[in-house]
Amino acid sequence: MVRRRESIYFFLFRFVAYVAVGFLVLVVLLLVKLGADALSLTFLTKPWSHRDIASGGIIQAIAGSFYLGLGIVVVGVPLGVATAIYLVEYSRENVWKRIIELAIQNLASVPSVVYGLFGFAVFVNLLRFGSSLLSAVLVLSMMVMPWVITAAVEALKSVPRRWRESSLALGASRWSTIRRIVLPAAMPGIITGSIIGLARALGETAPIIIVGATFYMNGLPTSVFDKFMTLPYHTFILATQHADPKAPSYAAATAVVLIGLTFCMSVGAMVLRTLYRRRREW
Amino acid sequence: MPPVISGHNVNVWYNGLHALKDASLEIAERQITAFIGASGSGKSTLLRCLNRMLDTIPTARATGEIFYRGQNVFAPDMDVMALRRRVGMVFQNPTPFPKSIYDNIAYGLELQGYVNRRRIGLLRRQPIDPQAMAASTDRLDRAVMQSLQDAALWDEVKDRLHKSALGLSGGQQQRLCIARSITVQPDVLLLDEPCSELDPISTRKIEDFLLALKRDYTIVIVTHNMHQARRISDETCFFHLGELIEQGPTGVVFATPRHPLTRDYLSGAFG
Ligand SMILES: Nc1ncnc2c1ncn2[C@@H]1O[C@H](COP(=O)(O)OP(=O)(O)OP(=O)(O)O)[C@@H](O)[C@H]1O
Ligand SMILES: [Mg+2]
Repeated sequence: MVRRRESIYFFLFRFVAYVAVGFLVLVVLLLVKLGADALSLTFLTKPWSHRDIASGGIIQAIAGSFYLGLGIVVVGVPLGVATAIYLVEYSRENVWKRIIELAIQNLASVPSVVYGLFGFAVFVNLLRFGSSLLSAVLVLSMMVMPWVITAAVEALKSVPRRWRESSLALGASRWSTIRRIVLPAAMPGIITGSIIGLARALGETAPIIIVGATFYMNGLPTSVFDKFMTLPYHTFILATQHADPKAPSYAAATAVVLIGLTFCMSVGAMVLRTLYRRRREW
Repeated sequence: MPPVISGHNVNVWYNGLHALKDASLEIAERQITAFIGASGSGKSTLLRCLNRMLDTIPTARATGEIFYRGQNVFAPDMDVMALRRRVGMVFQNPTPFPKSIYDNIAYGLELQGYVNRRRIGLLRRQPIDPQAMAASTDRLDRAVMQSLQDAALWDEVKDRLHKSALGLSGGQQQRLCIARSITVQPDVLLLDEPCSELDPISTRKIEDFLLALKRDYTIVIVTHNMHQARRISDETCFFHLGELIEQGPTGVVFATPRHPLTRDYLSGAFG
């Protein structure tokens, strides 16, 4: 009887897992099929040509998304990790810490467009960064911070206390202990969390339209104060705003590139994680 | 000879729990002092006071005085990092870092500015050749090798110095941890039940190691093993419910304990 129930549950869970994976595969297959005609080297490397979309590519959108990702890695991730270090390693248990933790939990669920509006008011207007890459990087960095912090806090907390104590007992400062012992041990978890945040941020459209994404520009951005194109916004424009009959196919192809980009990042994260693990078990 | 460490009326509270009551003791140079007593009697608490590791427990609060070679350990301006380099500590569970064996031993000296040319990086993982190590003139190589030899661990690990220390057996890990703490050449070594998780043979090896270390170091060891206290210690401190009941030469404490509580504990432990 118990055995039987067991196997029914097992079957159910396996079924659900397959359905989830199936959906993912289906979406990718559909997009690839739709966009197959459009995908080519020209498409990946040539600038966008608005009149005859077949003669151009999406290099500006790829570059724009890439710069955004780079910006988040340089600004948002370190800030998030630093906050997590402060919360786990330095701050004492008190009301302030509780307030900060609560704020972070709530910020994680704020709709992204709200971050866009905040960025428009503060970065674009108040600080006069204008509609620019810089403003967008700051907005998306703010958005990923709660996710990065949450992941990093978990990772730091899972580092055994006795490693910290052993290091301190050897006369290490708290900072050396964090840098040399705690952070390397927490790195796999931090990387995983950061990559998930990064991938989600790169898929965003709403907040960055507000602070600087544009559907067309000449050439690539040359400074952080330039406007920029991005893959998700470009997909959206092609899918809904363009009259050309080939546009849906090009939208699908752009989406495939975006998925490819996030996939590459996941693979990169996996490689890094493996390197960290291997160092431990080596 | 004046004592290396002396404590006067040390009290410790954890969130209002009075865990150590008016403890006073003296720790003699180049001797092994054993802390014995039932679970929860305050042995680890006093031990952690001696090198300010108590600081790492946020709820703990200590009063009283402890002097280490004339310096007031509890003084607010005490250089805690320097103190811990002089008064090292080894914990109950072996706690090697998730690093290579070499990097584990080297860590303490790296903190003091030694350059580690053999560190296992993310991409760089050079095997370490024991012959090259033995012939090396690098000061870190020499220090690492010396510590491992002192711990009688060299022959067991020399072919896997570049491998993770987590792959060693429990007894080897604990000897590695002791070797790691003597690499920085402390003055005093505090050990909190270092053998409680080890088999008799590993325990014996560590005891021999400690006896050899006695020539150069002052050692304080917490132990639940009465035989161990008898075998290796020169002085014994008996703790009961947060009080340091009795301190004296090990032979005297075990043969003719002054306090009835000590007598009961020792006879109970044997009977
Ligand atoms: N971090 C802590 N927070 C709160 N109470 C603690 C803490 N550490 C120890 N105590 C309490 O302080 C008392 C003394 O503990 P201590 O660890 O010094 O005992 P011990 O003699 O080392 O015992 P054992 O032989 O089991 O290691 C105990 O009642 C214990 O519950
Ligand atoms: Mg203890």
